[in-house]
Amino acid sequence: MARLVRQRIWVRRDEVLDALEAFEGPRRTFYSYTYRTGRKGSWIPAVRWDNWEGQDHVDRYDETGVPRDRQAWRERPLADVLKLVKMFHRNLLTMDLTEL
Amino acid sequence: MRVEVARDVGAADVAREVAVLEDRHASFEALRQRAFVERCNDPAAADDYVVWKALREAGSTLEERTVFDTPDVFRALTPRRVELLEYLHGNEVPSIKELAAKLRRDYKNTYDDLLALEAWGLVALQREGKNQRPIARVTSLRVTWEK
Repeated sequence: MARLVRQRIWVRRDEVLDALEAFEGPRRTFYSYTYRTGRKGSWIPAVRWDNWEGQDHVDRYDETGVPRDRQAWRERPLADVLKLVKMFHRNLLTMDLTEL
Repeated sequence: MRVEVARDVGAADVAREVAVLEDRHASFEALRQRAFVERCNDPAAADDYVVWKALREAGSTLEERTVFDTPDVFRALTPRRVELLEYLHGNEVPSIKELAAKLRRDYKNTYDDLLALEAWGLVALQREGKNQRPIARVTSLRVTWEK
């Protein structure tokens, strides 16, 4: 029996952070935070932090939403990721995310 | 400033969610394969898989929240649109035409207002045959200011 929490956080009119978290009891079994930018009516993924298959990592995508690179990442709460997104916006695509 | 929108997700919403997933991925098994093989190309597939897997288990729950960390959302919340949201919160309507009739409003204006609300995720327009069913994605709306 799982509890799912799905959130969309609008950072700007054309930028959102989509968060999905799954819990079993008090334990969080899955999270994903996807920073998307709006383009021509679609939400294109730009940066995504998640623990798919139990591995914390961050993926980055090019302007068309095609995967570009992947780095290891230390798990952090949604509030921290939201701060990063609000601080750096699209600059996240050119920064060393492991240093943040 | 932060505007938080909460939405109660009931059994009908869960059934609708599963119908959308079936529409998008054909079957749970097809999605499972896709999520594990192609997850890099389509991050939404991994999220859909997690959601569908949980919803297949009895007793699982889904909570939905929308947060606006920008005051721009208030451009979408005109008095007439708030009236639309309020009506949709308390009533199910099968089509935009019927919604316009219930509120004694012009169809085109109602449609335009729904599109504006949909752009901010406050309303979903679900296609059902020839009609689009407007569904409120708002149960409560709370504005807070952080110090």
